[in-house]
Amino acid sequence: MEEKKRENFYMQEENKKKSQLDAVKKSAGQVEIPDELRPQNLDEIIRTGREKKKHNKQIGKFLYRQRWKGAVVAACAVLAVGVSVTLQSSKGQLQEDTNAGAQTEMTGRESETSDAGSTAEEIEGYQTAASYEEIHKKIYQDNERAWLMRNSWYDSGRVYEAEIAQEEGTVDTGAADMSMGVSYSETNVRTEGVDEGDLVKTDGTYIYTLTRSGKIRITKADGNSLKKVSETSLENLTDTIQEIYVDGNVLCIVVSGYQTGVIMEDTDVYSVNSTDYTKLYTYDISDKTNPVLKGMVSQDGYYQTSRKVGSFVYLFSQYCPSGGNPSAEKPELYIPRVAGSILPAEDVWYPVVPQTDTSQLVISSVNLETPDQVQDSRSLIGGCSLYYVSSKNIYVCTENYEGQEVKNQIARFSYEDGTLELKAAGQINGIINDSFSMDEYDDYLRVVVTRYADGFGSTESNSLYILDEKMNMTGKIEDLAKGETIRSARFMGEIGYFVTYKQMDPLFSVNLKDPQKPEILGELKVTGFSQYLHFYGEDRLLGIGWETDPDTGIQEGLKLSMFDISNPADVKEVHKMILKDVDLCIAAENYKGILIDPKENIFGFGMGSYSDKDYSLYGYYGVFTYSEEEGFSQELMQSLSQMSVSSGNTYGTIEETRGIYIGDTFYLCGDSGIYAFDRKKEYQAYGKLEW
Amino acid sequence: MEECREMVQKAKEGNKEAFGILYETVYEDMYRFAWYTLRNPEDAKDVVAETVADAFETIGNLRDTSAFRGWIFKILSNKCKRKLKEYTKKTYVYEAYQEKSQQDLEQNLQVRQVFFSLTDEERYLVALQVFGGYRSKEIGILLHKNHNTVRSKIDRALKKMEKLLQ
Repeated sequence: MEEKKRENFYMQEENKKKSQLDAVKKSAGQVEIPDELRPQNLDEIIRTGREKKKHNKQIGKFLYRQRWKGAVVAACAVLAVGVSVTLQSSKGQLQEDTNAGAQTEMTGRESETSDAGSTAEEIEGYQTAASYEEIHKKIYQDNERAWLMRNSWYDSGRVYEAEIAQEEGTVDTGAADMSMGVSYSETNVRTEGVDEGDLVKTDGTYIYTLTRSGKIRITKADGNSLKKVSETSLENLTDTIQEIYVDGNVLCIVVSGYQTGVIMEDTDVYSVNSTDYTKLYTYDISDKTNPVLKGMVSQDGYYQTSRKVGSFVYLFSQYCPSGGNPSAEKPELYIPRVAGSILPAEDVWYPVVPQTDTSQLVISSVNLETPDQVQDSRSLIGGCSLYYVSSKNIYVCTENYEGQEVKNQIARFSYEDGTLELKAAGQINGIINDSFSMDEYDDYLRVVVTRYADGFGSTESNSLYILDEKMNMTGKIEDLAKGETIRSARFMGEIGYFVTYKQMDPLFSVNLKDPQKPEILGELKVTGFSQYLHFYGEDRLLGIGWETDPDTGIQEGLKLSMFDISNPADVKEVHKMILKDVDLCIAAENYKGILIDPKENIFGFGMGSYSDKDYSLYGYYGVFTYSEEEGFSQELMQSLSQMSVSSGNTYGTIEETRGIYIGDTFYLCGDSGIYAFDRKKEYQAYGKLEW
Repeated sequence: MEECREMVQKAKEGNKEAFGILYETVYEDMYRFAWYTLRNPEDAKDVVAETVADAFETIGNLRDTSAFRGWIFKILSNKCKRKLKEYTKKTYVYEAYQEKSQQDLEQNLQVRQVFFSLTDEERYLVALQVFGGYRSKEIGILLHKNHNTVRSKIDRALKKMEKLLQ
């Protein structure tokens, strides 16, 4: 009976959404399409389009707009030649591809480590090239085959075999700088020992903040005394600061930017292109009043993420070759540049089975002792949507929608001491929710996924896979929680916990001791679901998520749950706190935005609430503690309304405000300044520094 | 659908008329997508033209003859995304464009106005679904975003619109 009610509710929600989307469509429906775009004017459209691509650029602050003019015959002639040349080569290619398509089996070969770098390597599904021409072929010609394959099935779930070189042992886990004296909070990171950049950093004495538009501020913090020490600006006004790292006397700034330039694609064929780049600036901050720039490196591609382990920073960016069809003899048009020069062919990996996505993931390592150089760099063709960096490996995942069932291709790079090497690659079924759904332990990779075995629209199910270092599957559990999807997960050594949800939230606990035989230990059903899990002290697991009505599924508010996991086979929810009217929570989307320190017993994050009257968004930052006897306590619920520099950007303020603590003071850091609260006096506000 | 494949084949061989016929099947949605994403009808015209130019040049590379629409929309959506980035970098004043034709119902104008008050990202995502015909999972791969995130962003945008239209 309940099932039916739930189903009906979902149907209603879906229908409502559909009619809303239809209303949007309808609102555009009766509008006149400009005459210039009508199909009878195709010639003019093509001609104007080409002109626009060449001339539509920003010169300083002026937008130069080319007017639509009459047709020119000459332009069309060039076009026609271009098209047929391309066709010829692709037609020739078609023959080969059809033959290649016949073999659906993929066999890995022994990977040969090249010394001079002239031989191509292959690793289970990925291959490096011996020449740029080969890469060009893969990007521009073979990807057509990928379109052809879109509707065909792939051998599902099979993981490819290959010989790989034995891995060496030790890894520098980058011991954190231990400050004597007060304890202070650190960025909440995915893997201990692998630092991640963030908007705010502290070393226990100073607070480092940034503005996206290019300022770094260093503030001395001592209880409620906040004094500005220095302000540094980026030289390039169009660059955006993504995040910073602080380690001892080193400050790193990760920046994204773009530049427009003219590229000659072929004789007499130019195009204006905007290329994205990602940069790392490294400063010496021995003198906090005067940060000194020590070096900068740049790589092509739009910023994705970064990591820092010890004295190495790893930058990840996504590079898209410029549009059109550049000639194979111009690799600078389709190979990314890192620190000024394009990657050598043997550092570019492409999937042996072509993909439709021709963008490239670029990974570089920078040794902070030589911050104007890149130590090592690789690129992988095929966009990536998920990154997980363990203490030993970088895992990048790409969703593959080309068969009936969506799969994930995972590639593993080792990164010891800044040396990047593709070690293994494999493919599993299902969608990975976030980086917490993957976990490396003892050289095994555990992953929980949601599967859509019969394509989208079919019933989901969830699975757990264990892969060895060659990405071979050693153990699995399938068909968990049918009709639900993974919402959160957390692994700790031999036990893993994950939450699935449609209406009720089963919190599964899994025994991962034997890589061949993972087994479900328990399943706790509670209302609502957690979107973020964090181990909290001895035998406790904190869940941050949502409370929902079990019958209707309506979201009732934010929920904090504390689970007793002393016996993983019998997990209990021992305390919970529900914050009604909370509609949005940063913890759900960005784990770095959560302040959490179980040893100190403090956690906090930004959240938002939509007013019932006018649907405007109100932002808050909440700080909480937990005790066995009394459960959760709300220590602070601070409105963020004064912290928005620009009105109307409440969402941004919630997303980007950070809470940190130094000793007995809690600081809220945001766009408008830093605000201090006394932890010993019920979080009374007792100091601030506004910019 | 069969005619589509034939057309694509002809277009690949350089037959501009065939390309024109294919264009006819998508041009209205293309313009609407661009306009609703960018809010500026001049820029929308421009990105559609650039997309058509790109598509005509590279249709030779299109192997799957049934994927024409998805393929040309991918080019268009990338150009729109780029344009949106440009807007944030300079002080962009968007011209409140009131296109009124006799058939334009008051209701439609309202919906459009509310839609234009969404954030860049919200408009882009909803437009991909409404005019591009993508599902949230497909949008996920297009943008390399987690599809759950895409779905909840779209849900939020729709809820916002619902409230504002009450």
